[in-house]
Amino acid sequence: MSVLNIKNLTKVYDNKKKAVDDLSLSIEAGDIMGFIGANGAGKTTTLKAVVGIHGFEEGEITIGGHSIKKEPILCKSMLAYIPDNPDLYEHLTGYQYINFIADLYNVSTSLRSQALKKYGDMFEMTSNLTHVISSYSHGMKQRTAIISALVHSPDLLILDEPFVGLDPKATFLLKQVMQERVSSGGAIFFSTHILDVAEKLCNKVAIIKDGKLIASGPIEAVKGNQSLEAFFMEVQDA
Amino acid sequence: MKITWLLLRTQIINYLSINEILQSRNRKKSAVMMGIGMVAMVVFLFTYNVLTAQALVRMGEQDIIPAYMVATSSYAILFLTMLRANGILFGSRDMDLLLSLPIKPSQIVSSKFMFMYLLNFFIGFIFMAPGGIVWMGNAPQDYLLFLLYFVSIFFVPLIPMCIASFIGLLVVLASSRFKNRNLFSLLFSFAALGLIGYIGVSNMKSGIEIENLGAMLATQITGIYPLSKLFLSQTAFSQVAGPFAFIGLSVIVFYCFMKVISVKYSIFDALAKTSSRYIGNRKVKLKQQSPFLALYKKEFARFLSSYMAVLNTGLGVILLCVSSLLLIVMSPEKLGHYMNVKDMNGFLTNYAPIVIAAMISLSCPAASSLSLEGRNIWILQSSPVSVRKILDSKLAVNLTLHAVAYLLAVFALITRLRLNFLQILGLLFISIAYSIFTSVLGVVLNKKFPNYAWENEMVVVKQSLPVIAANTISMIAVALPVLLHLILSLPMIQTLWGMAIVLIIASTIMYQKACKLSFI
Repeated sequence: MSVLNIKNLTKVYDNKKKAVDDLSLSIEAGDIMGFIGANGAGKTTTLKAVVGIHGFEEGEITIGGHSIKKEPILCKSMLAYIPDNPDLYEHLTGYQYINFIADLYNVSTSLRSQALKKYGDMFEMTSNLTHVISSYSHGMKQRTAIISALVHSPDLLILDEPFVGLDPKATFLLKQVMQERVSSGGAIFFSTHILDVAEKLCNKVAIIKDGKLIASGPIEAVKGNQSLEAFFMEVQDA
Repeated sequence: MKITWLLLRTQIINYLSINEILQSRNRKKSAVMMGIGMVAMVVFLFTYNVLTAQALVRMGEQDIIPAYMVATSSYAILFLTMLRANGILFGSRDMDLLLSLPIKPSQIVSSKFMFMYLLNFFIGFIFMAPGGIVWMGNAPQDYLLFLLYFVSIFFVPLIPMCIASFIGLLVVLASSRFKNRNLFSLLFSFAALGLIGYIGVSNMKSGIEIENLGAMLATQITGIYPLSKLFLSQTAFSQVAGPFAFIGLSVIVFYCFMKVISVKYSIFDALAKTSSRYIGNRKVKLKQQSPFLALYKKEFARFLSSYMAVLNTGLGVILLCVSSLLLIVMSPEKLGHYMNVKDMNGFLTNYAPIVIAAMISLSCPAASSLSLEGRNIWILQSSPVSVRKILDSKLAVNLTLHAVAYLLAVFALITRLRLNFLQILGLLFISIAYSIFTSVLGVVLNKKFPNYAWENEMVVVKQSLPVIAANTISMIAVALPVLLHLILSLPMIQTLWGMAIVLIIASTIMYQKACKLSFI
């Protein structure tokens, strides 16, 4: 069964513009799918529909076989989302924020302690988590958001531009964590503009243009013999 | 001037969400509703001021109208600006961007002040224009004086704005020295508001012993706002010189204040945005708790972290707490003497539930609680918690806030008054019905008309549709039984019980409907 299945998704905004038009794709356990497209192509709209932030007019999204429309709480408990700009509760400390998220996902005290120790140390945030988030840099906020997303060991990680604002070491560590998650049966769906990273990290790729999916599938099958960048430029200009 | 105008225009578009209103169907609907609410309020205030001016004419004191209108509008502007000066002038999210642009701090300050001026001009206009029209119809035809009066409408907001901003600035500076900056900002702000209220009330009482009605009114008016003396014919100036001096003085004070603020603007702004050092460096105990408790604690922390939210939505609760404490330490008779109520004992015995309800209804943080999530809303939207649980946490914070003041008030009233069983029952349950209704109404309206894209939290705390509508509807719910009692002579306590039942039914329906929605 697919971890994530999007079938004929169509999302129309107030101004009648079709942000996503009849988009279908599926992600299995063990997949890392890169979601590529120009600015305003419909990537974030799709990701937000997947995580239940906004509704959609047509189609169906299922997570682990459950509909996000009919069983939103169950679906959300299986996934974690990190937006492109991690606006966290600035008045809380990093610890308080992660603890808050862990409470919402009903994570036991021992599991959250383990996760905090592991990822706090890995992302070199442990000493900073006692400070209020308002004092954090963009990268520190991003790292806090990543730790909070991993605290409940989600089956599906949805990341919107996860590498923006991260320093080289944190970028390396995030890639390592992503591979670790899929090797333990999870799945990852993330948007990115960094095609080199997508090419090296993902086993699947989906390309969206003006709300329509123009290519998706195993990365080798999609791009053929050329580089992902060359393929993307070709379909983008077509 | 061109840059200041550009900044002002951008601020207006951003603050009033004009582009969103023009482009979004939902926003259009909420803008229409907000427009209707604003027009109703303007009509009410306009009528009230016409009636006040006519009452002065009937007393033969039409010459006092200009001074009266200047004093009351200035006092209202001073009071209201104090509640929002810091929110507009300092600490808004766009400041980092503005300070990085090649523009002078004086241009930023000017645009912020002009924006605040625009908001206050309408308050001044609503007071002074109707009063002026009545005055023109009943005073000797001195066209120059009339002209000066109407021109002075444009200048009335200037000095009260400067005083309020100065007090706001003092609050920022004084509280920045403390570890828990936010708490001290609130304490100082409430103290300043209390002081201004006290000065106003005590000056209103100061002329009571004077036998001549005109002299008494003049003393009271100038007691509220001394500069209004320049509009009294009894002044040493000639009648025309007074308004001229008022306009001149307003311009000079405003200009000097702006210049002083501009010099150190970035420092003041940074101080306003400094987060409390007290809440930093605290490691929480990692202990699992229920999602509701986590949401509730987060919500309470969010409310208390917002100076604007506590200052504006906590006013009714603070007022009730202070009144209850006063009632505990002094007898109802003594309190009645200070508040100018002849039979305070009888008044409280009959009207206690509605007094508590009125003050509680003023405090509705739930009406802005969802919008206050702002850009953080994705956290709740993507979390595995139901809409019901999120709304419950916001309601619980509002009810907790009410409970503090309610318990204190009930204790004060039961210990100080001789109430029979039915009166105690009414005191206990009617107030609770109003508290529940206010909270549910606020959160439901905010759910229906949220605004997550704000740059300054004052926009959602003070001037958003849910806040205005919740306050207006709650006040109508408070006024309705009193009016039915006064106009139709319906028995007060029975009418209040009837109203309480209606409010509980309405709250239940609204709550159930809001909880059925899948998206927050």
